[in-house]
Amino acid sequence: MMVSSELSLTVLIVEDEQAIRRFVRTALEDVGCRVQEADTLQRGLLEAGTRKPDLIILDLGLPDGDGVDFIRDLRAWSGVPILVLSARVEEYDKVAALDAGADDYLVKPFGVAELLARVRAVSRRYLQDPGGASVVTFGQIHVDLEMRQVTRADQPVRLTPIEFRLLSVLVSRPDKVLTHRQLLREVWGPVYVERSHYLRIYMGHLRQKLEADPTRPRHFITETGIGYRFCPA
Amino acid sequence: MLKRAAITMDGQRRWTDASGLLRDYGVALLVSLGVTMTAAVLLPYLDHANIVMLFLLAVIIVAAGYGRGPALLVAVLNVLSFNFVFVPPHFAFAFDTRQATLTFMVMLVVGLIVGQLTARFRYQARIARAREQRASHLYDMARELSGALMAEQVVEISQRCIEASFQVKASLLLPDERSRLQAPFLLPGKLPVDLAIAQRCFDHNQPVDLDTASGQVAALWYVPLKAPLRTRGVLLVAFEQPLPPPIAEQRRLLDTVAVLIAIALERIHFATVARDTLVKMEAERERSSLLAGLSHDLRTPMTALIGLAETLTLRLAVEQSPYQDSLQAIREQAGRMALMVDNLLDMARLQVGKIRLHKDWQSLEELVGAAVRTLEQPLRDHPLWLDLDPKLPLVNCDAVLIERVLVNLLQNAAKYTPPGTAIGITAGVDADRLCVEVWDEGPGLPTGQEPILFEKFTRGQVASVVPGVGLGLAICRSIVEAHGGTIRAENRAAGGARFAFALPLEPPPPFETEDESDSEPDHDGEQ
Repeated sequence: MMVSSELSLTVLIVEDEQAIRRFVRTALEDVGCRVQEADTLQRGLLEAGTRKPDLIILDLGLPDGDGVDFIRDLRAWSGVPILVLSARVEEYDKVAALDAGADDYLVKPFGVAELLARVRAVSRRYLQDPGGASVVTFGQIHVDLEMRQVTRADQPVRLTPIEFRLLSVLVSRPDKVLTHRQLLREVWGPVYVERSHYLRIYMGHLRQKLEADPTRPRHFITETGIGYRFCPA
Repeated sequence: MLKRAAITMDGQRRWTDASGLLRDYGVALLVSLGVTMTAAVLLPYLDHANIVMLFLLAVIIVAAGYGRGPALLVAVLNVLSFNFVFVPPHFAFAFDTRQATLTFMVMLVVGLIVGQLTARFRYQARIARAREQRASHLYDMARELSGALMAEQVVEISQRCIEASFQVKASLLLPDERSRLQAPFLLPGKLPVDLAIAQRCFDHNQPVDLDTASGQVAALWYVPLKAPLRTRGVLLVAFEQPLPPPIAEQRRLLDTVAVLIAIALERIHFATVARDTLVKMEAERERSSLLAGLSHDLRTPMTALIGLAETLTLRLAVEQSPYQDSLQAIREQAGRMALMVDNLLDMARLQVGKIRLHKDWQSLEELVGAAVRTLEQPLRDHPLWLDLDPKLPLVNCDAVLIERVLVNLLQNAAKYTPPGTAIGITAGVDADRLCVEVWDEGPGLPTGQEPILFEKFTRGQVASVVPGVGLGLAICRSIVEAHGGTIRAENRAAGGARFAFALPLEPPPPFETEDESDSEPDHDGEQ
């Protein structure tokens, strides 16, 4: 009963622990990926340059350097999706990695199902037309980004300009974690990046207007200490 | 016994310096005698006018050497002896001729004026010398104090410099952490220190001058060491001999010295504070890098274990293997162990040193939502009642930690109640606190055990079959208390347990609302 949805991606794993490399490799090869391995950041950068992978899975706790620097280096010349593995207690490494340009993260320990879900989401976003659809539908909600119209069960929903901008930023990157800073910068502007209470209040408004149960949101998910994620499913 | 008294120096000075004075006047007498005899010898060669000069010279010399009193004596004696010896009739007083009277008057007046002027000049010179000496002592002291690195050095330097420049015994009294003055550790001689008086001087920031009854000491001054930010101690000065005038000036000088010492002490205080902070930061950094390393080292094998077990489970499922159940058990146990490792690491992080909170304005509704989502699996068999006041204000807290509290409380409720039992969260505002309750309709808490539940490694049911190490509630308490809040556990009247915690609310941050007239998206001027 194995789900063998073919992914057929080239994946580079940058991880110093051999046991984890093995399990990630097995899990990914089972769904049809080709996997390359690197055990240091140095080698990782080299492999990323020569093999041109479709996805990089990067452990943040590598002994030979800072994973965040690796992401910045890589982002200077490549837009390849990066999935970060973190074993740190603090949230900062994750936030720093995401702010530096990582696409998503997984906290150790994680299971195969989680890993594959993230790999699928990240690669789907990457392979999709970056222009994105102008109409997004989730649950009973229908968003027309071009016409700037939102309906809920075919009833129009009134959103303020900021609410609409926040919604459009979120729905344009489904399944991706957006950090507080990224959202504040895109919706309110660079001056507002420290005023996260705006984000809290407007996320509350959006959930009130668009979620069936705002206290237990299904689409606008909180990543505590990090940011928010829009789940269309 | 505390009596403020200006020290009356003049009366005492004559008493103590009587022998010195006697000597000065004796010298005056001898000089007068000597000059008369010299003049008598030289009389054949000299004119009367020149002899008068000789007599005036004697007055000036005595005035310069011994001051006003002896000069006055010499002036008078000289006039008399001149009249007696040199004015005819010789060896008899003659004030009858106009000539003699004039000489007498002029000699007396000139002698007095010259003597007075010379004596004043001498006095001023002495004061100037003393001042210069003190100033140079002050410079030396300032220089030495600026190089001092420890309070002990300041004490030693000030004591030495004050003793050298004022001919007194000096000592510093420094306060401990609770602002109680300590007995000086470099106590000179038999200095009669009264700590109560010193403490009063320190607390009120007022100098205290004492005429003391004790034999060795003529006067005791307690001078507060006033630094810009606070008083840093008390300078104790003991005069073994009465202070030579001018007193007011020396008082000022001592006050200046006190300020110098106070500033040196303050500088050292802040240098110490800065150094301690550095050490603390270093320790903090080491601690968090140690924990991060430990976390990495513990979680990496757990990840491999869970991941490999899961991969294998999927493969065995395809093959319909009879070992599926065992492997599933391995997978579950590994997951449980990972949770325990998390708890232990959290506890270590919260217990060692001070908890560093990353506060931000948070919405409780959002934190509850995140906690419930995390626990989707464990809570699937429990009806969940969320009753949050829709007008809850934002609360300034560490989101990750407060979510952790909610997760732990919900997890406990799910763990210690049978499936099907309702679990709920209620939240509201009470005065200036945000009150949150996690309740259940389960069997409740064992009576009498409520307070110890929050201790480390305590579990509700003795030898319970429910797995866990009993760290969850201890972690909750650490987190809530670090936020300045409170947490308690109790049984509900309607049955079941209730865990309630309260966080202090702060005035909300400034918030610009959108112009509602602009609320149609179509009107938005976005590019």
